Amino acid sequence: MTSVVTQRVHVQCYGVLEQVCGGLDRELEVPELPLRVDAVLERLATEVPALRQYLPRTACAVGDTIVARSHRLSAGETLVLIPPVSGG
Amino acid sequence: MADKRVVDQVLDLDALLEATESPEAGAVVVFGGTVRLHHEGQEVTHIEYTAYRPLAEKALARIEQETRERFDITGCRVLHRVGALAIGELSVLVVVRAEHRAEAFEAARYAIDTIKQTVPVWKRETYADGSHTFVQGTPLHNESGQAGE
Repeated sequence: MTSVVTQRVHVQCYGVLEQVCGGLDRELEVPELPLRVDAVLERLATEVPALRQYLPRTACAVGDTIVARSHRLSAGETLVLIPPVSGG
Repeated sequence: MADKRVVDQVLDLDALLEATESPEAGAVVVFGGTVRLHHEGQEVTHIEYTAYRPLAEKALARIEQETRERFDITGCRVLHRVGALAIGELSVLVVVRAEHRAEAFEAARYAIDTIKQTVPVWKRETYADGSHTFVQGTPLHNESGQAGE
């Protein structure tokens, strides 16, 4: 018998996305890491369908850096979702 | 206050004036953003500001640096407050000093416009009827293009 090993990704949802995703912090199970950001987002949107309409205008960050959808998320990295900003 | 530019307390204008002091400056421009009672016809009771601090701190520091590089000024400092703010409270401060007023005004305008477009801060307005909404914002771009790419 083979056991399916999954890894966990920590996602933080800011601004309106905290409301959409039902909280700032979210844990997501993924089959393997590293995994591209767009694949993580796709998995998250499957769990939270309401998120999908926001994704085209959402930027992603790891730490203090904006990352492209092609960035490969490693174990231990937190993916931060940044919807359109409205400070000032 | 140390070097933090995203703060939970009342914004300290005196500290920014002191931090930008220069004998070469003949002008100082202060821009402050305050919480307004009305937004698109609705009565606002308060605004909750949140930020993604690691990136917001970096973006605000970069705006100070870019403003100093782009304009002929002697200094630029900015602060953004987070938390629940009442009507009339200061949410953002920009202080620019320059030899002459024209550059100071222009630079301060650039700094606040860039803050509004590039710093990961969000405002959620609460209205007199108890409802609330996140204010429509500007998508962030990375070096290679659009937010969604």
